[in-house]
Amino acid sequence: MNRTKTGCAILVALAATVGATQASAGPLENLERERANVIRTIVDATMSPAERHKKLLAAQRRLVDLERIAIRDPKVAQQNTPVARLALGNYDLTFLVHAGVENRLTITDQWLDQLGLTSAALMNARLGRR
Amino acid sequence: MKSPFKRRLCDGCAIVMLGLAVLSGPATASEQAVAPDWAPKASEKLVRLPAAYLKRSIDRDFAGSGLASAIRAQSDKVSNKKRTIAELQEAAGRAEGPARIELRHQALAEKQQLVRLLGERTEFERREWETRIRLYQGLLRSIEQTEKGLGPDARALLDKQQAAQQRMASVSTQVDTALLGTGGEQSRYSAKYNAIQTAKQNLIARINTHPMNQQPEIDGKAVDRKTYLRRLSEDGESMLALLKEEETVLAFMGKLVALDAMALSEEVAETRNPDDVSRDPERNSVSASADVFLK
Repeated sequence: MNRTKTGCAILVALAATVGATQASAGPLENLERERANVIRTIVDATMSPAERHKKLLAAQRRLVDLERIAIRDPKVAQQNTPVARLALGNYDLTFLVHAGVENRLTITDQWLDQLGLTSAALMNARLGRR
Repeated sequence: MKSPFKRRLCDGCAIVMLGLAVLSGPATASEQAVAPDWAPKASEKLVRLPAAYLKRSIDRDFAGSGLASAIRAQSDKVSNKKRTIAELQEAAGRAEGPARIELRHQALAEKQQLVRLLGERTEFERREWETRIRLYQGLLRSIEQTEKGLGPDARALLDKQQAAQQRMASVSTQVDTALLGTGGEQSRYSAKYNAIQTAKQNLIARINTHPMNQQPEIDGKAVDRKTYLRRLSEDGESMLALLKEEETVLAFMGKLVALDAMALSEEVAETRNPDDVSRDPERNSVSASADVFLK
């Protein structure tokens, strides 16, 4: 009885391992994970500006490689997934580092700019109650 | 021992039969005991071959097939038959009397066989060109299916990706400079990627200049693989049209041999002794044969 249970457990473990191998993340998923980390750093209110700058600088280097890996991978377009359609349909928001350099903006400004949160817009905003 | 009359009669009958046999047309290849075959496939391997090498590969495959061997063997037989006919005609020109008729008869029989051999060879060639056309069109379909592999949505997405790649490549140096500064150390990925790209470009340059990878040419102009295959298929259709014309020529040849046979038959009949005709029925009559039973 115990041996049967052990055998089943090994099989389940093996199946889980195989499943984990097959579900390896694609370049877009890796890019998205790193991009989410960068955005979390940008909006983290507990972080000091110096600490944020240092962390963003390190993250940007990784992000550059991930952006290039994603854009060069031919499978990204071939697989035609919703993630791929969204990512390629919005270059300036997906590839923050490259688009930022192109637009002469920092990565933070590039992200805020794409969300419509410019300095002018924020300055013109009024606090009120709906 | 046959009388000269009977022999001539037999000759006449044989000649007329020969003429009829020729008129009935050449034997088709399907009548052969073992039909020679060539069955190439529009395989993935063939689709991937450089276009200039494609035809050579197909030609080589055909040369090793049973059909090509049959065509070669048939051509050899045709050459030998032509030589034999020329020799017989030359000998008939020198001979006289029954020997001359015999030689002309033999020449006609050889001509009949020549027409049959030519017919069989034409049939083999027709099969070769039909197979080639099928193969070229199959390859063309495979290439078109490969190109159509992406749907319109995926194609649009691919276009977007390519546009994004170009956009990214245009600021790539600026990004490196902005993040790493001048003389900064590249990431491991970037360094490796650049090395791989250099190697790839060198290899691509070598492939592009390789003699086996030259673009096929039509009328001195380089053409793509699909155009080249379409042209090969059209050439095949032209060859088939020519073979049909050759079949008409063969039919005329057969008719001519039949007419020659009839003329020879008439000639043999005219040289018969009229006395033989009057005497023969009497000699072979029932009453004349009664002696055989009375002995």
